[in-house]
Amino acid sequence: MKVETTRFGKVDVNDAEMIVFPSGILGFPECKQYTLVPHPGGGPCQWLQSCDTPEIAFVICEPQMFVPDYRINIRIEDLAPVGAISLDEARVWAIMRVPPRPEKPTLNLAGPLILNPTRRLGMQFVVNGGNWSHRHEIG
Amino acid sequence: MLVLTRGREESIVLGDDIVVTIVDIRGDKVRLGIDAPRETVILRKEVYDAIRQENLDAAGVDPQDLGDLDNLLGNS
Repeated sequence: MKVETTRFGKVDVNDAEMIVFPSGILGFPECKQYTLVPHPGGGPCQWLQSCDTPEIAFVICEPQMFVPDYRINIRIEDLAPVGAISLDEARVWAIMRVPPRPEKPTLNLAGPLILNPTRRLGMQFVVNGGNWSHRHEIG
Repeated sequence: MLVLTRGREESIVLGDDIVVTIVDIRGDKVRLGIDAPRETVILRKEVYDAIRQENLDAAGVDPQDLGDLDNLLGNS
């Protein structure tokens, strides 16, 4: 299918590349279908583009690229929404906020995205009572 | 908003499977115990609000910010 996007024009997405967030992402309950778009400039980040709403896209990355000691505690039952049976099977991403300079970009380490790559299911997991900030400065 | 008065060790029931119990009251703090199905997401509201607002801010990254992002990634 063709997905309209405000940033990347029309993007070709086949069903196998679609990622479904059954509960959406906090603040965007209506947007459940996403696809990954490589960052045009290359590097470790990609875009998680909504297939439902052209203007909604998140810059995401593997948090360990910037924060090597990043770990989260997650119970097996917390992974049920993505059908993953262990964190080993899941991939963890952080959403990056990129404010205008001179403010530094930040990673949301308190609300990582969890993806089951096999079933193409995603969720946002909110770390309860952890020490990771939702605005962890990088760069 | 529904407002109920409850004392220590008294509970309220939300639907069929969630029970919220007043465990302790000390000064201006109340300790709550929550029995809910394991898949129920339970969060302090300020945490929920912070993550939600952060998502809203992050979704608004402008294509013009891409240059900054490239610089950042190039330097990292």
